[in-house]
Amino acid sequence: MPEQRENYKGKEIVIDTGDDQIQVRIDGSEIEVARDEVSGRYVTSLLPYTDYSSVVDLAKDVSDNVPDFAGD
Amino acid sequence: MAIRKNALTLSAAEKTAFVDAVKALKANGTYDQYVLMHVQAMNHGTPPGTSPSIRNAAHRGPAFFPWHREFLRRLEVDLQNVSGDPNMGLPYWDWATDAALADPATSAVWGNDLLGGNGNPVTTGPFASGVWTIVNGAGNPAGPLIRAFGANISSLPTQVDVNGALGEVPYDSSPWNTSSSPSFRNRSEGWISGPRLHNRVHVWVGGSMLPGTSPNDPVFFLHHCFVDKMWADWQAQHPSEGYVPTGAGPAGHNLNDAMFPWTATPADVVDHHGLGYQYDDEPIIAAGGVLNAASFLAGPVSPGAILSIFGSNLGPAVPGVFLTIGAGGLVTTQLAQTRVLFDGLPAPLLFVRQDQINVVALYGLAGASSTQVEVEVDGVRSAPATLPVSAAGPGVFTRTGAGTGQGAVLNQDNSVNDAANPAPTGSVVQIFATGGGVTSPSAVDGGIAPTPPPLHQLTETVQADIDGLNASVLFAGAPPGLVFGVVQVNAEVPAAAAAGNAVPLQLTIGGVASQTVTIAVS
Repeated sequence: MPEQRENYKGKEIVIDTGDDQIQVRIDGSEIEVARDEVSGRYVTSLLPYTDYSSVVDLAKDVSDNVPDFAGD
Repeated sequence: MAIRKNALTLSAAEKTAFVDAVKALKANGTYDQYVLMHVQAMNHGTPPGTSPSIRNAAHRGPAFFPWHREFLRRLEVDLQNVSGDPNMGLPYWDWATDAALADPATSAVWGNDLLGGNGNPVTTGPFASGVWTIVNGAGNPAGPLIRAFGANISSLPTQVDVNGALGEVPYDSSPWNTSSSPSFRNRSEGWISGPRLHNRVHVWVGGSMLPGTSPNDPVFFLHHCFVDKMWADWQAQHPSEGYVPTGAGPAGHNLNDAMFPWTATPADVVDHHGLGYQYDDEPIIAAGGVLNAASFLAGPVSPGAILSIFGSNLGPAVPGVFLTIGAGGLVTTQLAQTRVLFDGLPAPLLFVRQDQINVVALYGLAGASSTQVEVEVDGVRSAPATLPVSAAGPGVFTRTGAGTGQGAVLNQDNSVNDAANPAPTGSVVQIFATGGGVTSPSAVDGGIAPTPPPLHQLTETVQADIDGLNASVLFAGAPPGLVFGVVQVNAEVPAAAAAGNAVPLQLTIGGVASQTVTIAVS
């Protein structure tokens, strides 16, 4: 899958899901994301209490809620 | 022993002490280390080298409960140290009860005297913006605390959800992850049809409770205290279900694996009483609350001694329940769902009430140096009280039952000794006591002393002093017709004893002296 870029609230979210690897960067900082093979949903230890059907939604929530990104 | 209480039952002083202690840990940098500890565990994939988002040291696997138990206990000890209160306990937030409120945001836990309220940023209470600054995953200041009640999910988990989890066995199951089912751990963590239970609470509070830095919000600890209580409740309800996996699970989650970043293992924390705390709805033996039932004094437990245990949640409400005679003519070891265990063995019960139990110590304690006493109600056990054991530990029963004043004494004509019926010098009085130790022939736990023969006599030496004078002891043993544990001492009032309504009387059995009571002498 080609690289996907999105500007979200002034932050650049870049998502690359090619080669069975998920790479997500927010303003250049890579975040750890995995796909739960059982549920098929996307998860990150940055937001550990929920999971997502969309990597984009996950990245937006990280941008909004993880203090390392929020308020930058 | 710390008592972890429902946050809604804390007194104003307890709330202040807790908040002050949390803020003191924040001020000295300790609190933020807990945030980072949680982040580190979150970033530690298990097994090592795997994605921490799939399973890490503290989440999405069996160690979820024990990791957080160790985490909370460490903070609790730090709170105790910084407050100077060795018994300070973390309060718990019973969010299942709050789920039934029309608006859970109105719960008193969010009051200005405890956690403060909702908002981006939080502007009320002790952790408001300007007072409390959160840290990011690197430990750097990252702005004020944020809460967004119900913004991400509309409702808190309910009591039905909790009960459903508590009914689920086993503790966990292969493949030891978010697909494990049946699994008390996985259901409680909230991955089955999630977010539910634990996860759902994080999401409902929102804001700073969403990311891996969630301990930034002090409610994290009250939330996880309730989650830990769920584990304790589940353990009590399923005593035959242990922690699993014991060895075949992912590294960091087996019973004897170290839980990153500590050396503590799940096995080290499965017994929460052993860690030094208990929950407020468990049977609680008060500190120093095991006393001789005659003297109401603390001291070593002796075989057959009648003891009074004081505490809370010990049995039924006032007026309580008195002894019953069961199979074999023995006093039963269970009354109204209450049992008292000496080193795991049940003992005859004479009386149970929510705040007091009267029990006969087992004769099998003879020769032991100590014993662990536990109260069990509806299958839930108290933290044990460890008590020394001695061959004898006498206490003399008193007329008022308070342990002081006129002794429980009969005159030679079987009249009750008191000021109106004093014992003449040279007469024989019957003194009733407990804590005399073993008898010959051997007494039976819960048995009723038979009409002789044979008389069951104490094997320890017995001395009676009246007015400070040695009184000749004619008999010391079990009074026929009464439960074994009651001791009768027949002694002759010394001829030189002074007359009076309150002449001192003391027994010494096996070299151990009772309290001093009084007797009327003429």
